[in-house]
Amino acid sequence: MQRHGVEFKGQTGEYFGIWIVNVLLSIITLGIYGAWAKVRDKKYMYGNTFIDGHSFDYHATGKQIFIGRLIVAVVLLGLGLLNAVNPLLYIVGILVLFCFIPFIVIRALRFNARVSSYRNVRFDFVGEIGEAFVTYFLIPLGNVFTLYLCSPFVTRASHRFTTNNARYGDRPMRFEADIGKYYTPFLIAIGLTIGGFILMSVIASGAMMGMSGALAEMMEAAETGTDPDPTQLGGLMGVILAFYLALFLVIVPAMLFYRAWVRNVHLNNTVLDERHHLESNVHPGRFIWIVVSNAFASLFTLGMMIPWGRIRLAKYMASVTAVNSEGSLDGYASDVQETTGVLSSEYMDLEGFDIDIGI
Amino acid sequence: MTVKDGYFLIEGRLFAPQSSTSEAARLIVDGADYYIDVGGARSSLMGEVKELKIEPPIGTSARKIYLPGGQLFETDEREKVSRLKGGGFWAGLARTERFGWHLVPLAIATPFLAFGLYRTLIPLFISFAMFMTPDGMIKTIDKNTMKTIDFTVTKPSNLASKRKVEIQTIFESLAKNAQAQSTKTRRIPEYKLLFRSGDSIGPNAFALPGGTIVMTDDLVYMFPKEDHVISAVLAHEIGHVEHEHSLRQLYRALGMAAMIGLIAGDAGPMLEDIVLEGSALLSLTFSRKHEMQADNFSYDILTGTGQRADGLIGFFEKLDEEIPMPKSGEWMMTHPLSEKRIENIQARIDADKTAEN
Repeated sequence: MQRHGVEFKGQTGEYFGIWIVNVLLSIITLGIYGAWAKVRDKKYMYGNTFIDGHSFDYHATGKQIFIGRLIVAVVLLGLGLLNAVNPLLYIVGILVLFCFIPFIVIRALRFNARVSSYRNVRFDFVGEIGEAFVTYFLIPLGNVFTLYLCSPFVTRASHRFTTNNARYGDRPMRFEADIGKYYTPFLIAIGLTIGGFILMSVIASGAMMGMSGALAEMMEAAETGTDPDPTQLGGLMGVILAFYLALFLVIVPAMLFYRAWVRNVHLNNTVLDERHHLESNVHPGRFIWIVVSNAFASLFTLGMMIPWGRIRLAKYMASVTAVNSEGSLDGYASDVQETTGVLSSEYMDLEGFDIDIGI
Repeated sequence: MTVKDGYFLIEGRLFAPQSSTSEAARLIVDGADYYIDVGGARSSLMGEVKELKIEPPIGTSARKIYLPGGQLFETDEREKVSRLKGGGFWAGLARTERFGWHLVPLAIATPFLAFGLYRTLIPLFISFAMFMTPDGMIKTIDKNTMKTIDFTVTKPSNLASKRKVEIQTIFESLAKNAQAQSTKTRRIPEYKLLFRSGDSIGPNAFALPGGTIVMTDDLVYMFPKEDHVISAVLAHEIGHVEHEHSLRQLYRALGMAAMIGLIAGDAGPMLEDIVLEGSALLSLTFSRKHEMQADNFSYDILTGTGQRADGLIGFFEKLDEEIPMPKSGEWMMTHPLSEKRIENIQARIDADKTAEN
């Protein structure tokens, strides 16, 4: 068994240049360049991710992405207009679009797989619409009735669907894991949330007294017709702000904790072609720290630290990922068909849900 | 052997089409032609340089060249590939992207350009969309919106028919005046007043783009005798219709969504969320501007027809008594603070008085 660590060689300065030029050109061209910008961004990230001295590559063209985006923009604008002109018909339109989700998901996964390569061999995705329906409709439906207690099943179903239908060239990937492995981080995350809120309310209770004072003063002021003390009002705003901050500091980290842990479960139980075992050792605390501090750094620098954050995260994720191979990584022929399905991939992009293809 | 001009070697790796195995190879460029050596020996791969598909450079990644047969030649000798194909858009782009001081002005210019674009493009988009709006559309919007509202929120009115007739009379005279002084040549509204009840919307009145105006029973009950208040509120709603505020707000929302989706999406999902929140706040500014505009319209039409114009003041004062309204935090509201709106009307009354004297 030979261990090949994943290595990310991207550099912050270099990536900053690519990123800022992308944003600038997108603005100047009224968003049109955005499609080409996306390709450049992905090419940089993929091209700097190495295993065993070879990098990944991204092959979608700006034109493909642009056409997809154009269609999505037209559909969304049309729906927006319909909402104004005929709200009832709009609801029907949304429902129809909703029914297309399994279809959109498989097309997006397939497109993203087929435009990705490692060592000149493309990935592929062969998932069918029926399984997508079960994975993204039926199982999540269980969650609706159980206060999200079925979330581990939802996560595992998505891991199964995306991995067991993925191909590297013509070689299959296999993933299977006990549901217990998903419930462990899920229950810890719930514990963290509850604990976090208890801690938060203890801290906040002091501030709450301040707030109730401010409220009482406001009531009094309203009755007597005088203006409330502006400093007290500032305090009230501060408490509201602190509340949101605490929410961000409890809920988001708990979700990140779960995500980090299940990524380990996912990759540690994934085998390519029955001989290349993937490995992931994300440390949840470290992952949370990186993601949250990246978010704050980006926020306080009006986005200028976004490239730094992305490179930092990519470096960390690569450093905790590896492939354990029986035999060499060489010698795979591929069985790649013409790429189709740009449209669906772009729907995902515009709507903000992103599908992670693993490494 | 003397090196000819335009003759050079590029060391790299060659992958067979769609294969993950590579061999050490050398790309030999001789003027307009190229040859490939694999493992030290000349291979059958050769042709004209212009047949090579040379991928644009990016950062310090290996350069990739696809041969017509699908083979991939990969090399770390990036400068030499630039000699093969220098210039052009992509080469210039890669030079611009290089990390250096020249990025500083670009980084500073970016937010300003984004803001400038927002300031020019969105109004332009709204004007264009207004121009493209067919005349019949506003009627369709009114009809379907009323259907939806009646289905989901409102119930039939319980007002006494006498009161309804009184208010209808006020409304018709106001609408006639508004239409008489209107300069609109397209999308002429058909004014119509409807009464509805509904607990969730309380004392309220709103206008649809085609001229349908809805007033709730609660609002009428609130002013059983103060007809001047009712007419000021109705005139305010007619102002929204005359200025086509709802269409403008709709097109603004659509334009913003398109712009944010296309541009901010590249900055990353988190920045996009921040921009979306910011745009929601900006659209509230827009909405508050429209409320003020409608208030002023109401004032103008009432004074123009010789009626009492302080009705809105009475309305806000009464509303504040019944439902305590916030006294600050206007930035997160669709309507300006009542206090400000009262001040505005009062200022106009005072100004008119001074002018008279």
